[in-house]
This record gives sequence, structure tokens and C-alpha cells, in this order.
Amino acid sequence: MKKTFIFAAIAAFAIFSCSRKEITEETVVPEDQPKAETRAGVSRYQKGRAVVTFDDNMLSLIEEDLKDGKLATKSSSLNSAMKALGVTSYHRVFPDAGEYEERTRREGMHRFYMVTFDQETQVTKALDELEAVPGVLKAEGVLKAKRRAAVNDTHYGKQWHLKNSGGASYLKAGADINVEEVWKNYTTGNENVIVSVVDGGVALNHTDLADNAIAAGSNGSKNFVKNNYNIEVDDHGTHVAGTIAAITNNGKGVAGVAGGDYANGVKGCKVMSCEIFNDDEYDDNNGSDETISNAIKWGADHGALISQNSWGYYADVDDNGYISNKEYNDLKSLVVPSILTAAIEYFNKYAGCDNAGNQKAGSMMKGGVVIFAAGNENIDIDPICMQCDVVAVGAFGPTGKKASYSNYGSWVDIAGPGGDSDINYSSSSTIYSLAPSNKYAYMEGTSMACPHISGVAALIVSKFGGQGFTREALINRLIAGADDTYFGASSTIGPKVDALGSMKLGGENHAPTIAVDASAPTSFKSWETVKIALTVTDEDGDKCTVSASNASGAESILEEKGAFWLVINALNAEPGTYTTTLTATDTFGATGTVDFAYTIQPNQAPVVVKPFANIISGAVGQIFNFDITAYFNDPDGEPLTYKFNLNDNQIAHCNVSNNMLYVTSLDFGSTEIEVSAKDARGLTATSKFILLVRDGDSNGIDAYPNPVINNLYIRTGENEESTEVRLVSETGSVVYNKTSVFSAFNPLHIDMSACAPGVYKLTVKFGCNTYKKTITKR
Amino acid sequence: MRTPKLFLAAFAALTIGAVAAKAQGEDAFPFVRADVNPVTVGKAFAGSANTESIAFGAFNNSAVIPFFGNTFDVAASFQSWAPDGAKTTKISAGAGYRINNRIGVALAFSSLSGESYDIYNDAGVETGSFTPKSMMLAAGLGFALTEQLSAGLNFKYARQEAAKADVIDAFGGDLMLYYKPAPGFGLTAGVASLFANIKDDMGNSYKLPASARLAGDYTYLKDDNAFTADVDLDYFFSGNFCAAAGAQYGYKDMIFVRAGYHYGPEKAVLPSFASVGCGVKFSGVRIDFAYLTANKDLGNTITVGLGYTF
Repeated sequence: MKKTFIFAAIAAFAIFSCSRKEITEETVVPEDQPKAETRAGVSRYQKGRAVVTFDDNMLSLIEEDLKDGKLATKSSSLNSAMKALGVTSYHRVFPDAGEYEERTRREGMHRFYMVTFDQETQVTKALDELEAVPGVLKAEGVLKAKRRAAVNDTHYGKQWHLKNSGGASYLKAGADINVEEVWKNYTTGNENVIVSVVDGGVALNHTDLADNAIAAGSNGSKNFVKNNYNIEVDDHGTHVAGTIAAITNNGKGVAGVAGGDYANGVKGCKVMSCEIFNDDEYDDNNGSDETISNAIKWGADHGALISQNSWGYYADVDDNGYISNKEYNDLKSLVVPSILTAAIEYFNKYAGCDNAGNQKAGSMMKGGVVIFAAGNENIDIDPICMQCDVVAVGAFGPTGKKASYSNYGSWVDIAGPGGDSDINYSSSSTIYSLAPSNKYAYMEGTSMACPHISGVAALIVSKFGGQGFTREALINRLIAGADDTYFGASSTIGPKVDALGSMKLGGENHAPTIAVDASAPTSFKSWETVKIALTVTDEDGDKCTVSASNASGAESILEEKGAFWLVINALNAEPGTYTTTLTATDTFGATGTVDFAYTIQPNQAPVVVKPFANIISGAVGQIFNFDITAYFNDPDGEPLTYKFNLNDNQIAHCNVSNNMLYVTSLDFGSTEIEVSAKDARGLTATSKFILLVRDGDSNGIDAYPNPVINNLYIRTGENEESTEVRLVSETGSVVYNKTSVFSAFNPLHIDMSACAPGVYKLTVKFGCNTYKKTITKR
Repeated sequence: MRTPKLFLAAFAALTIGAVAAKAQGEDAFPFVRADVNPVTVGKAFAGSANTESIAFGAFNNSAVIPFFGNTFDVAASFQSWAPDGAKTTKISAGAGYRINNRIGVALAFSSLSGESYDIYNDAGVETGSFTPKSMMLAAGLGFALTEQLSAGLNFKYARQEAAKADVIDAFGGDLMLYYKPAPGFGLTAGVASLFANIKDDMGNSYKLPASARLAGDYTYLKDDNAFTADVDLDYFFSGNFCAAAGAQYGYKDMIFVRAGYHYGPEKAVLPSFASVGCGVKFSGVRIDFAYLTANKDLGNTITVGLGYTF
């Protein structure tokens, strides 16, 4: 417990430091620089770098040379300007997009070039000189961004943001995203819905995320800072990704908003890590416009439908803990770089689409949605959210009120839970999600609110997505489905996200319909269990249940992986004709019914098709086996169960296995073995046979009992045969002298009840054999 | 004439009693009717009225003892009985003593050992084996009623153990009259093997093979040759009539040959068979042999005897 507390404390510190206070990048241009005031945000520009937008004429002159890495082009004016600025390299901001190059060019994104020049050259001067070159449409400084900082999952109880039941002073019931009912009745996610997490690198191998994470690779997650596929794991990026897609209902850790239903085999939405931040503050690519823009575009080109962005530009530039008027005004006048705007518009337009902008087959949505955190400065501006076509996300805390840090304004589209440690000065009021090294951590900020919205958006696409589903429909269902009364009419952070409300949006509930597979049989043998497919359709996409009226007792409903089956277990009912009413009921109680008539055929008893023949064992230990199926048959064709009964288990041992009867002789003598075949309804057929175990080697005949009381029986070890039998007294008086036909199983019976006690001689002759036995009468 | 009337009256009485006592069911203890004397076996069991030997008189007819030509007669025999049938071995001994012209006594004993057989239970399962055994002990008394008429009475005890722990005892005897009408002739009448009933395990009662007997003997002597003919007629109370006829030729009272035929219905206690026999006698010591044939069950029965007479 102590270790846990220490970890939590460290984690909490880290959250605060990285999410709300930590991230500041000193790339400020001195205020006394010329023209500094003419370019908003100039103090934030990176030294020695600029983004230049060329027109088509210029591109026709320079593109081939720049592609080959040359600095000298066919444009002398550009060459002169570059030389004056000490340009050291050019490259396309949005590199050749391969399959998607066509639409990249159509959107003009090939016009953006990153120009690297002498860092001693003032940025503003460089921008002016570049813009003065004919064919240059625009030259812009390069900005750097900062980060903006959960079912049986064991830590689910800490995820008030998913399910807030109140019960503590810092909690208010309902101050959550209202997602549990969505999981139960609508969806838990869909693996075809990909959210690109434009952030620090995600711990893709986290045990509570891996199944829902897209591995790094040329078609997957990518490190845009280093321009390679080695993701550098980051606390912030991992936390954000975990909120969206941590594996839900897997018995451990936390739940993700769209993390699937692991226990029931349902995979969640996928997260793609598009790494734009690392820990190297001296890396010009770390959080740069170019890095971020490429990361956003990458998502659109690699299957993402939702772009999750919990980052923004610096407001507290001097990092003194508050926003000065100058900082405020500077931020307010900041123009979002063209390449970022282009990337966002590209994502919105082309995500889920082909080069022509048409929805791709199999895509869940036409176009994409870029979701941004509003910022954590408690101010009413944010350049990106205000200038770009994004969904801006404010934050509320566990008491259901605007988080103390959340930026606000009419431009905030929706509010998500971001936590608010100012309520109780405890991490418990912040957001609990994944941390690197298979750990978990608390963080707070609009960075945490944003992925909740991304997660809900992913659920909406999972539920309603498909051909014809558009980004506009998603945004409408997300915003219009949110609770716009929760914060009151004066809310400054938009309506509270409401996952269930978004699912229900659309007004009147439509009753589901239910149909029986038209090719299903309607007549069943009395022993059969038959599964009949049911088709349940709900126009609203509501989750439905199916029930069957108890017409015969044979009906039941089986649900497997979302499919319904009518199961007729004929054994549970008497033969006859029945009609069952099948009812589909949606979440809101609306029902659809269909009648299904069926017949259970009369049961027929099994029959003996071949009686067992008596068998003679000539020795102890002999094993006889019988394929019982050759002896019995069931007119209904049902499988039979076999049993045996023997009246003397000292003589033989029997067992039945795999429809085979095995009989082993144990001792001399005879036993009757009854074999029965029983059908599922208990009707049986029986066949008996006698196992006679004789000492065949030493006795040609058996005469028994001896001594005789009344009746003497004589049997041979052969089949029935004409046999001479002569029984005389010891003085030759003939008692019995006949030729009879008998055998081992049809012994000759001689009534000796009238014979006087004494010794008799029996002579039995058949074939070439003559056997003599002394018989005594008691 | 008084003697013949007495003999006939006695025979009639015994015969009537025999008919009245006709048994129900099969004859028990049939071995009591199997002769062990090689002399009479050689004549197919005929010779009840013959006075030549009295050693086994206690088994047969003690009434002839007073008319025995010598004083003492003792003999022993070994018999392989029915080797193709019941396969019984019999060892027997007997002795007769004519005390005077009026009275004489006899004793005889016979032990029978059967073939060992397998014991089977009701299911036909062999559970063991057993060797059946039997024996018979007899004592006889003969006394002359007149110079021509005598009576003989045998007391017999028979025991049979056919199965394990299944011993049955029987008590009975023979009652015979002997009448000698003229030299060389002899007649016997009486009841043989009249025993008390025995019972089986089920409580059923069985009679032993008693019969009413009428026998005759004729001996013709000329020089060293002697010819004897015997006839025995038995009417068994169980309903069968049997007859045995035998003859003997003797030379100088030293060498004897015998032959005989016994008639009996198939179901009679003694069915039909034939026999031959021979014997030698010297200084009172006699060795006899008999062979029984013409019966598939009793055939090949051999009887050998050793006797002494003085």
C-alpha cells in the first residue's frame, strides 16, 4: 500500500507538471526586433526556419531541382533571395504522399516548403525577403506547440469520468460522459474505427492497450519528430490514448471509452500513434508545425477517421504562471500556420476517402473530424480552435462544473471530463488512465477532456458508421446529442458530452423487426434440437433482446455474438403442432413479433434389426465385441444410447463404449446378457443372448446337474445336431434311449424324477464322437 | 406228498405277496441283483436251485445249504462290472457251512467302487468330482424241513453312496424254499431281494428290485462226465419278467465249462445278455472265470473267483 501511495503521488506530480504547468518552450523572439509587431506570434517563431508557399509558376521552375536536393533552381530571383538568407535546405512540408499524392496536390499542399536558413538571420527579415520573391505566395514563421494535458477493470472505480455515481464531496453523480448504457445497449467500439493520436508517443505495447493499438510501421503509427517508425513512449500521449481505447472489460487496469468488450471478444476502436513530441527540447522538429501537420495528414492517409489533438500553442510564453495582457494579445493575434490549416482541412475532407474524395468501400465515414483541446489557461481564446474547422473541447471536473483551468468561450464546441484538482487538491479528482511501462497515472487538463470526446466520437462512428455516414453526421450527433442544459444557459464550455444522448439522438424510437430464416425447417423429429437463424433489425440501431412464447416448452432463444437463434429442442415437448410467437424488444421497450409454426413428429421406438446370437466361449478370458448399431435401429434416425444387463457378473464382464459392446468371459458357466437401446425419449428395444463359457478343451458335452435331483440337462458345444442319448442304470436297465436334436443353448432335458437314487451311465453320440458320463441320482 | 404241497403252498403265498407289493417307479439298488459268483455268472445268473456251491449262498439261496454235498465252501471273487457301462469294480467274498444234514449258515460281503465322475452344478459348471461306492453284507440260514424240502432265509444290508454326503442304507433279504424231488433234480421257489423302501432327496420312495423266483436244476452224471442245466425265472415286482438259463459241463469234477443266457426286457433291472464261463477244481480248490457279453452296457464284464470246498 505504501508503494502504491508513493507511486500515485509521483504520478500526480507528473500530471500537473506536464499537463498544465510544465510545457514551455523558450523560442521567443526579442520584443525589440524590427517588425516584430507586424507579425503576430513572431516571438514564438523558431530561428532559421520558415514555411514558404509557392505559386504554380514558381513550382514549375523549382520543383524538380528541389526534389533532387539542389539549392540552385531555375528561378534566379529565388536563388538570390536564398543566397542572401543563407538558405541551407528546402524540402516539401508534406512529402510525396504516394497513393494520396493526387489529392495532396489538388489541395495545394505540395506548395508548402520548409526553408532552413542561417539562424543569425532574423526570422521576420527572412519572411519579408521571401515574400518579396515573385512566385512566393506566403512566407510564415514556424511555431512550436505544447501538450495540453477509464466493466471489470480493476481501476474502473477511479474513473469517475466514465461513471460518476457521486458518493464523495468531490464527486457529483452524472458528471461523466454517460457511457455505460452505450456499452450495454449500443456499442463498445469497432476495430475499423481508427483514431490518430497526434501527441507524444503512445505506449503501444501497454498490456491494457496493445490489442487496440496500431503498431508502428509504414501504414501505422509513426514518429514524426524523427521521421521514422520508432515510437518514443510519452506519458501524455499514452494517457490520452488510454482514455480513448484502453481495453475494456478485461479484468484489469482501466476502461477506455471505446475500448471494446474484451471478455465477450469484441475489439475496440484502434489508436494510431502519430508522435509529434519528444523529450528533446532542442530538436526543432519537436512539436513544430511541420511535424504536426504531417502527423495530422498521415492519419487521413492511413485510415484514421478521427484526429485526436491534445496540444496547442503557448500562451504563458514566459512561463511565469499567469497570462499577461501582452501574452494574451499576442496569442489572440496569432495566425494559425497555413500548413496546419491545410492539414486539418485535408483530414476533414479526405479521411476515409479515396483520391477523388469519395468514401472508400469499407470505410465507416466520409471525411474526418479533428478534435482539439481548448487549452488550460482559463482564457477565452485559442488560435487553432477559433480559426480552424475543429471540434474544440473544454473541460469539466468531477463536480460537473467547468474546470478551473479550462479555456472557454462560444468557440468551445463541447465539454469533456478533464479533472479538476483544485476541487480537493487530490489526484482523485483528475483523470485516471494509462502510463508507460504498463502503469497507470492521473492527469488533468483539456488534454484529458479531449480524448473523451474522441472516444465518444469513435463510439458514434462504431454504431452509426457505414456507407453514407459523414463527418457532419458525426459532429451533429456528437454536439447535438450532448447535454446543453447541464452547465446552464451561461455555459462557456459548450454542452456536456453525453454518449448515450448522442446514440439516442434522432427522436422517435422505431420498433425492431424480427424474421425467421425462410429456409428453416418447420417439422422436427421428436429428438432433434434445431437452431433457426433469426434476423432482428432495428432501424435505430438499438440493442435488442428476443424472447419466444412458451408454446410447447421446446423453444428457447440463443444469442451468440450478437446473432439470435430460435432453438427448438423437441425433446422438451410432446409431439404435435405448435405456434410460437417470437418477440424482439429494443432498449426502449418497442417490440416486433413474428409467429413461427412448427411440428414435432411422433416418436418411434427403436427396433431390433438383428437379434444377438448366443455365443460360446471355449475358455475364460475370451473377449467378444459387437457393433451394437448393427443390431438396433431407430426409425426416427436418432442416435441411441446403449446399456446392458447381465444376470451373473461372475461369468462375464461387459462394457459399452463408442457403440461397441465388449464381453469378456470371466468364469465357466452361462449368463444371460440383455442389451437395450434407448432413444432420447426413453423408448427402448432389447435383445438378449446367452454367453456360455465352457471348458471346451476337456469336455465334449455337459450333463448337469450331477448329481441329479429331478432333471438332467445335456448340452454339447456344437450347434444343433442329431444326437443319440442313452442312459442306463448300473445294471444296464435302460432309462432313456433316444435320438434328439439339441445344442449348447437348447439342451436336452431328461426327467429323472422317477429314477431311483443311484449310479447311471450316460452315453452321448453325435457325429464321430462318443462321450460317456457317469450320472448319479440323489 | 406232503412236501410238494407245502412247497407249492409256500410259493403261491410268496408270489401273491409279490404281486400285491408291486413297486412304483424304478428299482433302486440294482447292484443287489448283479451276481458276483463266477460259477453262476458263467451261466447267466441261472443256478438258484443248484447245490454245487454255497459260498455265496447268503447272496442267493441259503435253502440249498442243507443239501450241499460237502461241509464248507468259501470263495472270493473279483468282478469288473460293465466296463463299457457303469464300470464298477466289485470285490466279494462269501462262505457257507453245512453244520449237519439239517442246517447250515452262510455269510457274504461285496464292495463296489464305481467310476469317478465330475460334479456339475445347475448351471453346468463343473465344481468337483466324486467316486460312488456301494456295499452289501448278507447272512443266510438254511434248514431242512424234510428230507426233500428245505427253507433258506438271507438277511441283507446294502449301502449306497452315489453322491457326496448322500448315503442310503437298505435292509432286506431273501426267502427261499428248496425241494429235491429226486436225485439230480432240484427246485427253488421264493422271493428274492425283498428290501424295505428307500427314499431320495425329494422324499420319493423307491423299492429295491424284489422278485418272485422259481428255479429248477437238473444234473446228469455218466462216468467222468457231468452235465448240469439250470433255469431261473424271476417276476420282478416292478413289472418285468426275466428268465435265465444256463448249463455246465464238468469232466472228472475237475474242468468245467459253462454258458447261459439271461432274458430280460430293456427296462428290467437285468436286461438280456449271454455269458460263458469255465473253471478248474483240484483238491477242493476251485478257480472260476466268467465272461458276460451280448449287451452293449454289460458286455465285457469279467468275473474271476477262487474257492475252496471240503
